[in-house]
Amino acid sequence: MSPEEMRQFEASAQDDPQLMSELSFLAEVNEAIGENDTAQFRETVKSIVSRRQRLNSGRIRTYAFMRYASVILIAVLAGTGIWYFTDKEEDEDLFEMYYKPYSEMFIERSADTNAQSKNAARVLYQQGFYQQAYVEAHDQLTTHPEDTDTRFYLGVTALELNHPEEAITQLKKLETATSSTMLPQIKWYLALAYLKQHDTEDAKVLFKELSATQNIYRSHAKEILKKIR
Amino acid sequence: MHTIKYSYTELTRGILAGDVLVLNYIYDTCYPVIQKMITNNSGVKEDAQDVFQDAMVILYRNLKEKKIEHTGTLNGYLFILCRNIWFNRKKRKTLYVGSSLDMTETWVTDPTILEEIYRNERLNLYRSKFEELSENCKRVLRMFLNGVPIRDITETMGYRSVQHTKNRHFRCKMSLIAKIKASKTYTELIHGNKKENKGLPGRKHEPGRDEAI
Repeated sequence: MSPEEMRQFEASAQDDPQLMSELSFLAEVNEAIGENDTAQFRETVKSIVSRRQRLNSGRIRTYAFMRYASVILIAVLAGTGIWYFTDKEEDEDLFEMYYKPYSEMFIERSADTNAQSKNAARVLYQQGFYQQAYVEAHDQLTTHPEDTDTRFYLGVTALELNHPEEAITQLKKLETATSSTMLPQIKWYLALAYLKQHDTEDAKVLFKELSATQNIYRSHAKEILKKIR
Repeated sequence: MHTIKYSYTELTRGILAGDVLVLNYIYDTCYPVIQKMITNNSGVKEDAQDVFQDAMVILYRNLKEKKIEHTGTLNGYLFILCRNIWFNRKKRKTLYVGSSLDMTETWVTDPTILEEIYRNERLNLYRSKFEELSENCKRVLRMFLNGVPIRDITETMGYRSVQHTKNRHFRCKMSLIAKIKASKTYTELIHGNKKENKGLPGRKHEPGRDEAI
């Protein structure tokens, strides 16, 4: 449209409520398509709500039993250094508190077929389609077992899908095989997977490594080390 | 569990960054009151989860678009959002399902908040219908929207010509619009909201009045 045609169109739209309403509908549709960050935020909130609900229902179930058990426990432990435990958190609580799906700012796009298959798992993961991402990553690794990026995504997807043992298997393979730029991410999710598996000792080793170097997980690793049993 | 208390700025920054610690904190401090409000008003736990998620998205969008002025607490704002979302849903249910709503129930109808709720519902619907499209359609629409040159889209998608890409884009857009307009939710949203806006008891949101939760 020329500027003159555009001006005429806008003027006629002003006088036509139906056209205006259709235009604002189309603008909102475009807005919805472009709202990737909001969609991601919704997924984050959704996963927090479901995790907290799971955690709370678990707590309620154990609450009745715990009430009786705690009376006995308090009697036994009173005066025997109970203070030592008061500021410590359960592994599961720590995991719930600190875990969030891996997020990266940019996803490379490429015309290369292999690169597109590599990207498929990443893109699906970033969009929150974890089951599909898991399948894509497995397929890609069958033909390209050396693809460390996809292995990383398989690891974090397994963790998201509540398979910490597989996450550990995949992420451990990357500890020595990957470039140093990815190491903090690998260590962080591997440590969280250990935490999820109640393997506190292995988790601690990794959190210590993360807290000793400059990386984005450093402060969180330090906090966890203070809270961990 | 939470030994840290976040300031208003820390909370808003945390929400915008999707910081899981801040979001956990908001959940722990706000959700119990919201669930109580909803279950006391004929809702169930699942309704409360749904309403809380929608309210958080509206809060996020408003923070991103800088539509919130720091006049009260974020908790208070979130509670008002949830209350409006919930009573609005109940109201719509009476229009479409025919269940009864006790009109003596007191509820706030702030036109600005209501418009945000409606907008959120529309955007949710459009987004969910977009997700139903084929992967190729989604990619084409996204690239067009991001201003990717049409020749690049043609090359990336492996289409035979620019004209084919234009046709494909048009068909995808039409398919999306048809999906949206055919959905029952769309009819409810467009017509329901018009009906609801007629003759509703309403008052302006007064900062401070509704903040206490």
